[in-house]
Amino acid sequence: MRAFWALVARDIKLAGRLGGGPFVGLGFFIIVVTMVPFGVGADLPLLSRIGPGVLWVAVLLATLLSLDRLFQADFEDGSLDLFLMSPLPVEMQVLAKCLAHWITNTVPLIIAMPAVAFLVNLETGIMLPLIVSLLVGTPSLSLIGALGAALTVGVRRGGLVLSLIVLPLYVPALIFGAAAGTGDLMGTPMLFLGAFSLASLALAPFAAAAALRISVS
Amino acid sequence: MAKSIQRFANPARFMALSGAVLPWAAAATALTLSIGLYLALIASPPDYQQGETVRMMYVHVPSAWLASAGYASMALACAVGLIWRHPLAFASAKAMAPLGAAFTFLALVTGALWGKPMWGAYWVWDARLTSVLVLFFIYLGYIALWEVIEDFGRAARATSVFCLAGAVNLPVIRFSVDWWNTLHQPASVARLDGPAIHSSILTPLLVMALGFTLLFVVLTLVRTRTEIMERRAASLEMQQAQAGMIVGAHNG
Amino acid sequence: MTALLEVSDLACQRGTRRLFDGVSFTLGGGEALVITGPNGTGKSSLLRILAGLLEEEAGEISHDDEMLYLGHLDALKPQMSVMENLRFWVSLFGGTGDLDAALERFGLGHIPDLTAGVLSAGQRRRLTLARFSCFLGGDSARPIWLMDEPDSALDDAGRALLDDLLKEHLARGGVVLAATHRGLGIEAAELRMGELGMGS
Repeated sequence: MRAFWALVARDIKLAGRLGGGPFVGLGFFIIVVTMVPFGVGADLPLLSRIGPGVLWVAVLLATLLSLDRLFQADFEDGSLDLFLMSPLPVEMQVLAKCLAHWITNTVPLIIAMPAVAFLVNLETGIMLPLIVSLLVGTPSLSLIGALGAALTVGVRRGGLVLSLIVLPLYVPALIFGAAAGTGDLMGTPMLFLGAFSLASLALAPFAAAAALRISVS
Repeated sequence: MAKSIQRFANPARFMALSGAVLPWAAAATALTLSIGLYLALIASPPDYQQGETVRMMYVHVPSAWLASAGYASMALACAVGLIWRHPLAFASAKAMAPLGAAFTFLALVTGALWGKPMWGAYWVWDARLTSVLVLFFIYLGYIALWEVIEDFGRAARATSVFCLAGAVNLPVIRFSVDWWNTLHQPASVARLDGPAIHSSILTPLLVMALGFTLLFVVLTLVRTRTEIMERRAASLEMQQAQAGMIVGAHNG
Repeated sequence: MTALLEVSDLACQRGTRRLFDGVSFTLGGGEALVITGPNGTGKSSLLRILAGLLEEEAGEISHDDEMLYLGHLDALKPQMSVMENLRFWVSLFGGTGDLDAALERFGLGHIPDLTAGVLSAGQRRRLTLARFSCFLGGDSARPIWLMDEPDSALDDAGRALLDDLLKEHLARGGVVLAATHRGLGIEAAELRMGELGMGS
């Protein structure tokens, strides 16, 4: 377990020291949300209606953008070889990396949510369910994304293919997440969303670990 | 584990067997499709509500069936490939993907064309068609992954992991899209695959479905054979290049 | 002496190409094997197979002890300091010993807080050797060392440090397998790849 947390700490440290740290993803998120009113018009009732969905899609895209590097940097400098030989099971390594990815990429977006929500005229009553839905649902984005990142590590134009293979798998998370973001805290969509996250937690690390072993071979 | 490859997979036997079966299978496909098309386009009556538009169903429903059945067969082949390291299984999964994607696309196009007169728009985010659209994207992802990973063995196993992940997720996607659909719009009144199907419609439909399935099988066999021959050609080229290197080394 | 690593009839296939087959050897504590041969004969692939990173096409590998692997790359993070890099890998693999002394031994004792991104190729390799020095001997957590061209990028002083390290590891009952072009300054059996009738 100590090795697990050492890996989490390392990845968080690395993310913080990478040029721009968490602010690049945050900036991308805010700009995507800003683009929407330019596209659909500054129609406040309309924005307020589509707001939760827009925020969910923007979080999903920002997550996807950062997933590209989840294993790629370790692959490029030879660290991945050592990880696969380390005493910490690869499944646990995937979990550790997902946790670090979630903390460094997604949590900043959720923290910024109350401020960004003004851009889409979000009703104040919806803020709490929206944030809870993001906390419950976004771990599945990191976990499923880890499978995509593991499959495309070391591949030409890996980032593009990563989007193509991961986005369809995100459909249930987006559907339940955006619905939970407007509904009851313990409503049906929130429960579905939680179930989806738990299922990803149970399955994705094994698939991603298998994919990593294949990718380095 | 790789050791078992030689023992189990016998491409030579597959080539001989599939070569013998192919002409008969192709003939059966042509015959079934001819009968099916005759029944569907000429012999069967137009629908009293939908008129001639209903004939679209004879293409749409078999395509939609093959979109799902094709993916299921692909997932099965991928699982066999991953468990028993059977190169033939990987090759057949690779062969099935563009076929499944093509039938999925056909199901989407016929669904949209049928939707225009029935629903007043080509695309109304109907639950079933939307699920088929997501399935189409998963097919595309699978094919793209094959394209970008150069080494056959690595590509075969990586795409198989993705195919199985997709197979696990597809029922969830289907469920979520159905649920989402009831959330945002009332259930459609008219359906392309209506609930009560009269036997005058059912018979041509079943014949067409059989014909499409046979077509899928025949094309899969052809594509798998092509894949094996391509691999053999690449292997021969590589052997020649290696032999050339040794000769070159002796000369130099 | 009991065998720490036993390899028999190993074969490797890359794509449609057979890189090698029939590779067999046995290594006991204190023994070293140097793998030589032209480019493309499978030296790196052999080491990667032994490391468990590649799958063998045929053959058996048996070993009770764990392995430590050095590839072409040094697995260093440019954003982390010299000491942070060393500490992370040593703790992940359960190494022992004084990290400061390890850095000192390979001439990096004065720059533990420098980011690894500014190190020269030779210094990066020295840092990797410092990592190996935390797994010295047959009783360490990782007594079987697999090294792919460990002497690359090293100057004469660095090569002398490498030879010292390998000698100490062998003297204390460790095992070394190294692929190399120029040979190493240690007593070792030689496995020549790319020749007919390859064997132990």
